[in-house]
Amino acid sequence: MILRKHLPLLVLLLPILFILLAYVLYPNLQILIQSFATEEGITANYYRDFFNLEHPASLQALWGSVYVSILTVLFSGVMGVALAYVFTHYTFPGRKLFSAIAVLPVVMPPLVGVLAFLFLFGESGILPRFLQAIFRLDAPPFALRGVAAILVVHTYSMYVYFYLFTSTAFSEMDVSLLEAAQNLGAGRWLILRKVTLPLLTPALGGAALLVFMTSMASFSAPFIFAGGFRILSLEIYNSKLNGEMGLAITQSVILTAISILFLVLLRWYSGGRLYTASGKGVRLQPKPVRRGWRRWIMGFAGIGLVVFLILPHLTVVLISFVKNGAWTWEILPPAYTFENYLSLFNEPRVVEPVANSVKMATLATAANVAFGVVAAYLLIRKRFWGKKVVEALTMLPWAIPGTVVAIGLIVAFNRPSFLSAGKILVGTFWILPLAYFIRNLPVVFRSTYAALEQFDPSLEESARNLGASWWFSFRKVMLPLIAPGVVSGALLAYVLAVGEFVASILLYNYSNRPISVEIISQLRIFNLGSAAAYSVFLFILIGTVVVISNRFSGDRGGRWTI
Amino acid sequence: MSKVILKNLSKFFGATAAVSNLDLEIQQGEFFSLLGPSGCGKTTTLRMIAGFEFPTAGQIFFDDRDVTFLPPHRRNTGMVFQNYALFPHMTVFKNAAFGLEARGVAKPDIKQRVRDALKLVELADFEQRKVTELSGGQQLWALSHFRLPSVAIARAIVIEPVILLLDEPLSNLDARLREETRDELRALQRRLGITTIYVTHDQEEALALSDRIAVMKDGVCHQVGAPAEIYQRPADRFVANFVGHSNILEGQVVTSQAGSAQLEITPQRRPAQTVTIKLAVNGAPPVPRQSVAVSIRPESIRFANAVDNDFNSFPAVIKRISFAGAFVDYQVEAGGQPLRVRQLAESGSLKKIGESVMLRVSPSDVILLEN
Repeated sequence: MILRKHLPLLVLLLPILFILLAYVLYPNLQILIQSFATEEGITANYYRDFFNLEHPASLQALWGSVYVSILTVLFSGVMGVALAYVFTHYTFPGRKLFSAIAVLPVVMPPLVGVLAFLFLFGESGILPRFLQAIFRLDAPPFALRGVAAILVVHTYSMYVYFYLFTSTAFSEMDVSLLEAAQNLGAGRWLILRKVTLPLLTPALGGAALLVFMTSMASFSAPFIFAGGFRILSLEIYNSKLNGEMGLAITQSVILTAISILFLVLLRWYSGGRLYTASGKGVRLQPKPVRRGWRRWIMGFAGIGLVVFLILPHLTVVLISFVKNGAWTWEILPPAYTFENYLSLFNEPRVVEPVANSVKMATLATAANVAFGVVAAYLLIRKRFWGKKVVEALTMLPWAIPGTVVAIGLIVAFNRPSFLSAGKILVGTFWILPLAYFIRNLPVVFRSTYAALEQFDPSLEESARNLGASWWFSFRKVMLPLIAPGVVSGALLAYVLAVGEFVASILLYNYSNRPISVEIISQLRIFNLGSAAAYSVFLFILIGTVVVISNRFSGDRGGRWTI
Repeated sequence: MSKVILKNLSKFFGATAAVSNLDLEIQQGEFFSLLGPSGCGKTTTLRMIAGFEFPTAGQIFFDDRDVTFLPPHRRNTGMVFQNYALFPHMTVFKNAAFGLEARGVAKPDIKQRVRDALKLVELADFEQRKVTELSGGQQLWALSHFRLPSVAIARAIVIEPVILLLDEPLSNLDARLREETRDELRALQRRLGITTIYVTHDQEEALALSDRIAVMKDGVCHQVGAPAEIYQRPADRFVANFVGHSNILEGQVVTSQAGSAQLEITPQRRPAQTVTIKLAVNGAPPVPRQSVAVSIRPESIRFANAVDNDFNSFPAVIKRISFAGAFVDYQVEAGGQPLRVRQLAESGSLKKIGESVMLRVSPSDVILLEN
């Protein structure tokens, strides 16, 4: 009787548990264990190396990551909040277009964004050479590199968090609260300090923590720009390449610990400070900017913003038409061709990475959907012991930097294990789809969970009351209603998987090399055009997905995360 | 159409009893209400009848069939949910057809039966409309919120259920619509003759709609009876207070004989002269010196010109007046005891604050309460 009652639960729960334990928990545990397993037995030697003040490479890298992340939070905060303020408070010509373009960095895979900035502002970039030519200088007047370059790229891609969080907070703010404060005699400054800011704190705090985490885990920008500057995520990659696996593992533990700490902070923070408006409230109405000179300033600032946001994309598109090897010292490339695109269709060596990425992303996403739907259903509808653990493990990959996911897979599956059907996974085709699957676990799960949470249980009850079996009601009522959430989650996961770089660069082999890795290889042999053509392919894919997904989810557009 | 029998039904959530030892027998074709404040167990009871919850103890019968643990989709009950639970991705027609599709009824049959049901609730012209269109768009469909319960009712009756279950279906409507829908619902139920169980916290609704009412509190049924019986002869303090307004008076029995008794009211405020009240007793007479409580409805207290020995007569002072149109509510004090008095508002009969009046209550309007 007891078994019969719990059988459906067990049938669904056991595979979920297996996946979580084998592919989420086990690799991370392995990292933790191996960070203590030195040649002299169980010691803290690796940690001593990490914190060694005489060879402070790791410590410098840790400090470098924190330093860059703090500055990233600062810069993207200023940019995101300022934009959100302007767009929610004022109307002016072109506002709609600008606010649509403001989320453009989202359709840029991190690696491609880095390339765009390299082409634009790098040592042989378009802008420095342009200035050099105009002012007849001997050398380019500036070139983006090192920390500054990383910060520019980070701000470009991460200010969107601040922008979205803050504009949501502004537009959900109840204006009658401000009016009440005014009515009670408070001046502008007091209102800002005592009412507006406290109402914005959850959004600002949430965005700041998120940006900090993302920046700590960021790999692409340091990979291209860091030069001699040490960054922890990059240091892990270098240690692994140098064969110092022990050090790489220990660095992974430290980086993960910081990430998880911030994830916990984030959850605690956003849990305790949600002010929900009581009653209907009055929403903020943007006011037109009237005075002439202000309109001009707005106009120019808007154009400047558009240029800053769209120039990287345009640059990549431009370069995708450049004949490989044709662009050397000119400001703009001298010769253009469709070759790069044609070869995307007919040259097997060029098509292969695209086919690889598409195939692996499809596999990973299909698995993500199956996992996400079952896990979300269990967590929302069923009562069982250890629910919190299942949820935490599902969300864990979100806090784990891609570099660490890769290191974990290497450590866990570089020898046969029953979890991998007795095979060595490292070096095979399957290691990459597995990595994509793990990295995107939270993505599909979250969107499905949100859709299911919206789903009113009385609809299912009502279907059952009307005589529908569980399966009939699942098919006819629940599935159609949660489909938009599942599909938009799946599309996002698919896009992320197709463009994935961070874990891929550590795990690929020649036969399953994905697009991102191929972009880097093409860049290394100076085939800029080919690298850019791949990137444009990614743009188009991501753009299509964003459009489809907005159709599906109606007003939820813009709530994308990278 | 079935009779519903609840036998010793209990439901525990953890250690708290949502329903305890409930025994009810609902007759075939009866309109039966479960009335009580929120958390009294009325909805849990309804959900057990629908099969969404299984009781911790006890049994549920539809006629002689034990359905206690039958899954919901095999009970053939039609339920109208508090939020209507209309499928937002379907049209009115599709919503109503759902139960028949789940039963595998042939397409042409479905069409015919759904049309008939929609006609019954006057929704025939709306069948191709999406239900979200009925509720959304405030200006365009000003009347439409009122249509939602009709869709839910049509969907529930089209499957020809043995029992119709209604979970506060009118609580989302504004006062006027509520009254209209209430009357239509009652008429429809009469016409179909379907056994109906209605859950509500609104005593007025329950009184107006029901053949019989069960008044519940904290999972326990306090009284079962016809509306007039519940109102005029509340069994205990809770029922007297929950259904309509009551003056509850504490007192000590002075004399007692078959059919009548006298008690001395314990005044709430001292010092004051005590009031003695005669009451008619139906059941066993109370024991002298026993402490008891009685209930007097505000509208059974009248103003009198002189003392009348067949009635209870006592002087009082007007403390507060609130004029409510059709009637006037007075707050008076008699012998240290605050009382509420309701009079029809006849022109020229308004009293003033501070005025001394004589009150008159018939002994048969003084109801002795259990404990």
